Amino acid sequence: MVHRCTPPHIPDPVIRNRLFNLLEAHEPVQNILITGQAAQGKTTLAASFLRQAPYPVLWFSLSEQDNAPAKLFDRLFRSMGQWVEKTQSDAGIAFSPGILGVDKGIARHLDSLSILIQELPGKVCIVLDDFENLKEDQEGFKLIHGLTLQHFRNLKLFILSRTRPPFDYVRLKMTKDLFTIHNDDLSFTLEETRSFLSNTHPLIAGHAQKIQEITGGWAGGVTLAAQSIRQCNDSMNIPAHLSADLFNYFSREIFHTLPGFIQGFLLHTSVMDRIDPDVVSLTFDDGRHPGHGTDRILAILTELEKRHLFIQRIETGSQTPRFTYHQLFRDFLVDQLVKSKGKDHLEQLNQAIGRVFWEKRDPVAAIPCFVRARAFDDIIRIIKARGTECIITGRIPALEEWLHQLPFNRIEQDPWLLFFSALVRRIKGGKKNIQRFRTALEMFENTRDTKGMLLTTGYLIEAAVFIREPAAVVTNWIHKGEQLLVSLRATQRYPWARALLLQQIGLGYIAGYANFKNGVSACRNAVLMAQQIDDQTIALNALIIMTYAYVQTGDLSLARQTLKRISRMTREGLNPEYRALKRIVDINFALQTRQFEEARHLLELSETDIDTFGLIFLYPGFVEVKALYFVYTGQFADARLLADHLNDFAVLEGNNFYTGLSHRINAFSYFHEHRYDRAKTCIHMALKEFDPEKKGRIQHFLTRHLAGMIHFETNDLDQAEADFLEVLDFFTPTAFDLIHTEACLGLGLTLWRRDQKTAGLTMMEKGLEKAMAGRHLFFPTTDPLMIASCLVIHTASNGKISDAAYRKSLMAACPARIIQTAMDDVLAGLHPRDKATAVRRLRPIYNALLPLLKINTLGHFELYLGSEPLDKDRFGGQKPLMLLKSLVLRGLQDIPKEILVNDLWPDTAAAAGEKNFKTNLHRVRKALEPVPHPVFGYSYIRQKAGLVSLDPDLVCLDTGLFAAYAETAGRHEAAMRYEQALAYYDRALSLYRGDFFADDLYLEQVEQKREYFRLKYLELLPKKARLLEELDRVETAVDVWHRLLEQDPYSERACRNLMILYADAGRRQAAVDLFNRFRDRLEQDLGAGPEKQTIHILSMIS
Amino acid sequence: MKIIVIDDEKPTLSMFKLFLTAYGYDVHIAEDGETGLSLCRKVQPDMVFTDIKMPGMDGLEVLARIRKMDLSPEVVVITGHGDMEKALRALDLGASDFINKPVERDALNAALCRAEKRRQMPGHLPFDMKVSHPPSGGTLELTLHGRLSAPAAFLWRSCLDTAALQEISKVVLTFEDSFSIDSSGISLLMEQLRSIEKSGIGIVFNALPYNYIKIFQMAGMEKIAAFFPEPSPV
Repeated sequence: MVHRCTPPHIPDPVIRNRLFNLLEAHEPVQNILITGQAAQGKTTLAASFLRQAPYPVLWFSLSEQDNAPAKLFDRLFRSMGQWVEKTQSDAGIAFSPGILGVDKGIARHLDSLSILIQELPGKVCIVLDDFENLKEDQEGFKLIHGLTLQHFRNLKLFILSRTRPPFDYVRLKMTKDLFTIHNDDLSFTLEETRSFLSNTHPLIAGHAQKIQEITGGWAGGVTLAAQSIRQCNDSMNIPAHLSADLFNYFSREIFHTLPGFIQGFLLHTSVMDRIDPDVVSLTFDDGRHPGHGTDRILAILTELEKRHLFIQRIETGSQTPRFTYHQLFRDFLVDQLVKSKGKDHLEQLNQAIGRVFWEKRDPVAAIPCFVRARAFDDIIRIIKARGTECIITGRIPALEEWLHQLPFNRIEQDPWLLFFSALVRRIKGGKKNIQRFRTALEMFENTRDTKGMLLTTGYLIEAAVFIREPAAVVTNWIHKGEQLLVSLRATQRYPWARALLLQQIGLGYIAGYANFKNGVSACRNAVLMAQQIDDQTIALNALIIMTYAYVQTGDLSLARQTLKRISRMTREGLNPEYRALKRIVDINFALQTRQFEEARHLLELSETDIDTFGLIFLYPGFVEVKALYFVYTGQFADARLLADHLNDFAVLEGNNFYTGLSHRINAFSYFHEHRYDRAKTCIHMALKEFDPEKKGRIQHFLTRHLAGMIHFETNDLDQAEADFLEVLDFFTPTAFDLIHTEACLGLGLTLWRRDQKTAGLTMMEKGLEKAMAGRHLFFPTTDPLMIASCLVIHTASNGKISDAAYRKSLMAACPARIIQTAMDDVLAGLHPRDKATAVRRLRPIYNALLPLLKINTLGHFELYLGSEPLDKDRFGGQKPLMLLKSLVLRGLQDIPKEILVNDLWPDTAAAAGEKNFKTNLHRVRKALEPVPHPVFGYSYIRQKAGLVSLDPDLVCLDTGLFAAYAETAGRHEAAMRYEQALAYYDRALSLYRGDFFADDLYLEQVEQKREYFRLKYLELLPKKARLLEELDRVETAVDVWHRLLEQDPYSERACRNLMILYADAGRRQAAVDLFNRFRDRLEQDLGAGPEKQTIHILSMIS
Repeated sequence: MKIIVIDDEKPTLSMFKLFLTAYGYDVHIAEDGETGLSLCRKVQPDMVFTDIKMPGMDGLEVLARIRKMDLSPEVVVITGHGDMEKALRALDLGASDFINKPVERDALNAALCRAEKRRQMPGHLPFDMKVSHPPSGGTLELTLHGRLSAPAAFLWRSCLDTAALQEISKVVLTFEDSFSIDSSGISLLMEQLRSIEKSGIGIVFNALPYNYIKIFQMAGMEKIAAFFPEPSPV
């Protein structure tokens, strides 16, 4: 295939520095618009300027055909794709030709093109020549206009147009994204005309002034006038003023002076849009010079080019270049041809040339010739031969254009033409297309054309799905397709058509009938067959449809796996179906991980995609996840509005699957709102719609599962048990792990309530083990109280769950009050003899519900329960507080109560001391827990067998943290993780708010620890300062050294380091001043002087 | 065919847009009456769907304003379930058709099909009635065209006088695609049906437009005439 976007080769007889400078000055501007009359030099300017461009240039000469939907997009996308493939080995840019949406294309095309440009490996320049051919209301224009309004880092866009395109100039002016060169700018100055004539026609350079006057600098006119003067050697007869209307006059003047052979050559080649020397060599025969080889033709064309006869060379990457005439000149030549040889000759010539092109397998060049020749049989032959290939490769716009050339009655008579004509209007053809496909199918059936039947049935299913035909209609076509496939079992023929039909059957089952099992099976087969024939598009679409089925059935794990597969086949941005599907899966995931803000954001994006690209098959799934979002975020009324909307959709669609879904959403919403009676009504309505025999079993059992939960909550335990048993029976062999887990827990708790304790416990254990294996922390269809109850019952009965970390996470996912309620319920139901053991086993769960008691001892003595400061007045006097301090002073260890008695009442008799201790311990506990749990009692201070201690799970001492942070900082520093080390030094130092028990100077045994922590603090400061110096954070280091000097005014080390830092910063005087102050302080306070090392540094600085 | 849908509920708009686009129409949407009217001026639609109940400018006002414009789109009013009174007012204001919420597929298809056919007919067809006299008694066939309202009374009475009904055992009324009606037309039709019924003649409604069934039922015509609705459009 010829590469058709190479810039034209134009000899530039005059270097237009004036305009080049303007363009260079506006290099950062994305859009360059060059407007000017015909032959004003727009193309020449752009081509010669861009010849030295540091980026690749893709040149597109536009015609009226580029107005057609998708045509221009197709050209741009493919050319850029080819360029990317050339520059990158792993390019893989593919625009899926088989779309799954109902949009009209422009949004999709603009979106895809924008993403492609954004992802280009480097800057690229696109030149759109003859832009005036695009009409304002057509898609081609809208596509380019859309591009001009976006800003791309990688794009330079040159638009060459005879007329001023109706762009949004106000916006472009505001964004400074447009620079325009106008007609007047393009006109030759006298200087340029002189330069041009000197380079091209030196013999007539003296006529420059005259030519400039009559042409007004019109580039085309200058060329023509020069040619004319040169040929006729007469400047006197040139009119006083030259306009484009006189182009023909001059062309004729020049044409008639050319040799007859050249005249014939020009007339012959004028038929071709692009002059291919090979084709000319096979068709041009003037009768006198037979057997012109390609080289001879090339030589003639090159000579014409040298003479500036409005011919441009186009390098195509192939061995032989192509040429094209300037349109005005070509029009003149064609006119001459018709006048001299008649219209019939023109048509015959076109047909002959078209056939040569077709023999050369170039239908793109052949078709226009056949159109001009009105050779419909030739066009039909090409369509039939290449139509299917066009579908496979996504060249639908080309196919549409070819069909457009045929009279309607020719299309109606032929099943393939009818099929293709419906296919190119696929989706946008609406209901009428179904009729076209049906007629084509009947004709194929009559002629027993199997391939036609396969393809037409496939597209009938697709059309029925997108037009939302009732499920019965869709299944009718599906069955027809299945029969066809069965009849072809023994043969290997038509693999592409069969793969496509399988894909469409999958779509029909899943999006048109909600039969997910059959749909997934069909899609799997489609993928396998597509892989055999290496058809990425069918494989991609089938996988997308499968993913949708997995999402609809709630199997997010498989959905994710499939999406991963898809991501290796396409780029997310280039395929809206994939992107929208992935977002729906991501929304489900975000909801399950409670990332509601993320879910909301994704919902917005998803809605835009569905709306913009008309992804109607994804719409119900989107509405469902949006309703779930509302349920999970407590917006129950909004969820039910959406459920009603889904019901409207079901009515309009005539598909009661969505009615069932609507009822289930309502039930789910009432369930989460704890309005169980209403939930029950709705779930029964949903169950009616999801009859397992009609709608597939998965939806029925998903609904049954929710029904089980609702029956449990409404204490209808018989029904709940029956529901869960059936749900488990169905889901056990499937991959629906989460539902299986929930059903085990639901059934376990139901049995427990029905006093079948052992069976219930076994089921709960099974559920918890499954939950643990799947690391589930979110149970969409289970009330949190149910989870908490299972956890509590299981812990109270068996001791503990093997994975403590998971249990902790699971607990954290449940609100504390719910766990508390569950524990109270469970403990209330236990026999007194079992209670003590249960309490012991449940203690860790209970403790986890209590707020942490944080005690600060470095600096002022402070207490916090959770984040709330604890008022010391709550202790009712100094003695209880002193008792607490005595405990704290000894850390988190068991302390014999006698020691504490001795601390506080050293002179009191043992019995009295014991009594005092008891009274004050009670006060402390009461202050910390005013209302202790009736079963678990006080928790923060433990007392057992004469030993007293602070519970290490519930109490946090700042000294412990201080030591731990300091140690961690040291470890990080040793491992050269300096940033982490610095962070931990900061944490440790920030905890030291003063001396240990700063307010209690005379507390027993405090002095030693106080000194310990102070020294530790003084050790940490230089460590941090030194580390900061290492990391070149001098200012912060200076602050830290000063902090050390404040704490230890005689620190020689701090003084020395500060002096060096000041000196290094050029602050010599500050260093000297610091030394002086330090020396004076030593002398004044200690009667000593600085160390030698410090004095040495001073001398170095001085 | 260009269609504008006006509804204050965004999900409904999205749904209509998806469906009608899939049907092959060029669809534009507006979330309120004002926006809908300015869109009408800009787009010049062939057809407008408007919800009746909207905050601010309601569907009836939208309809009235469209009728005052220099445009003649087919206007289909979307009414709430069972809200026949508003449907009648809409017909009086010149609505081409109405459909009930939730919109059923057949109703939508019928409305679209009728609108498409009407676009191909000359505008504002006056009421006309074609009477096919049976050669020898039996069934009298009446084919109804155009808009039936009070001024058609004279035509009706002159075509269907006592003489015309002699020896007739059954009257079949066939509703052509161009047929439409307003509340005065319903009263007139009812009056005529009663008069025929009194003569002991059976009445059949043939090809009764899908969307008129409910309104005729509400007027009590079902008790007098046998309804045979128009076939569902493909």
